Amino acid sequence: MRALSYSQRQDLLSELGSLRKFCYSLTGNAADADDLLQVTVERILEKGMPEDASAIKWAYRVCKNAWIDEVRSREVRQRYPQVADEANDHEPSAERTAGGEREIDAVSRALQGLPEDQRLALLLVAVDGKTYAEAAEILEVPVGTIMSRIARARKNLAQALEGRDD
Amino acid sequence: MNKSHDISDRDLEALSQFIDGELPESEAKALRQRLLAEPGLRAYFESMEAANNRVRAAFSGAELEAVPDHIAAALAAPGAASAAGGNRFSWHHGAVAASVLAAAVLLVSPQWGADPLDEATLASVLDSAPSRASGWEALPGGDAVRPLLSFRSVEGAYCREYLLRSGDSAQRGVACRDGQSAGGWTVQVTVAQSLPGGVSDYRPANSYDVDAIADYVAEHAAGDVLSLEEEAAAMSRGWQ
Repeated sequence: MRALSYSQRQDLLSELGSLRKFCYSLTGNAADADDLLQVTVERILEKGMPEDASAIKWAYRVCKNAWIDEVRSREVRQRYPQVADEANDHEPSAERTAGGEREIDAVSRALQGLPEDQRLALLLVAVDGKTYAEAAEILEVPVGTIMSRIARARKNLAQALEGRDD
Repeated sequence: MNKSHDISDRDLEALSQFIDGELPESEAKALRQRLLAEPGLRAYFESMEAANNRVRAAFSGAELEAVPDHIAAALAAPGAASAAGGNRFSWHHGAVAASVLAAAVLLVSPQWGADPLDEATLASVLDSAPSRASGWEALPGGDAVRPLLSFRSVEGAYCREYLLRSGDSAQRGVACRDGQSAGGWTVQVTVAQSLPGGVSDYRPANSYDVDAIADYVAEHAAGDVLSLEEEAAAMSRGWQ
């Protein structure tokens, strides 16, 4: 594959903030989000992309794949309590109240309980504002699959959040 | 909410699509009527919407989009500050390829006759603000600028590409330091950008427009995009 064109590189630079937010929503803490973003950028630079590729969708796809690699190697589900402990250590955000941190923890825990494919689809649409069509391209599945994954994610998430609040 | 309430897969998907604004309007209209008439369905909808709002709120906040400088630098100028260390392709290669594509394309006229006050205000940001991948430098009147990268022109002047946001519209441009005009920077080329959705989501207003920038850069740039270190050094010398 050829190296990035000027336009592709500019598109990516403009999108880096949103991509970093996607990394944060996947990993649950700032340090891991930065690591995932760095791996994503490195892989993109190393491998390039097709001349006609949409740089932004390509980047989300590389990021998603890097994350899935990471999940497999770290077995994050067993270790996901990182959200409660390491997240607070790594980011002393002065703007967040204690209540705000608890809320992010509660939401992150509930999200972590979802099957990975449901979580990815939901985060891309609900947090990153992608359309179903864009999410389908990024995840390389049909739009119908996106719809059903998101619907099931929402059902599971609503149950998890309400269960935790009891 | 009644946790044992069952919902068909079809209704579940319809509610979910509705929340994402992806339900065709005719179906949305029918769903709205059902939500008024069926308390069980409405309760389920409210529960899903509440969960959705909590997810969005939990991941809002500008600090989530803060990109470490070294990562942005690696993307902006891989030859100078490579994170991966393996990919030393020439920045020019991409710019030249883009200009070939742009050969058959209409150029958007640059913003000649720009208000000198605007140029002076933009100039003060270009004088002193480092390039960045996210965030903005505020200007008077609620506008904002994001310097994107810097390079030297074949004429020996320093040039910077930037995004300029004004109200609901935005433009991408290149300005070069000339020491002659008010403020010292002259805008060379601009293209309109549209702002769909979020603040960080920029697209060219016309699919051909972004090539006007690439075309300018291809013709005028000498060498690579400056690394952040080189840029800082140039800035400290007053862009001499």
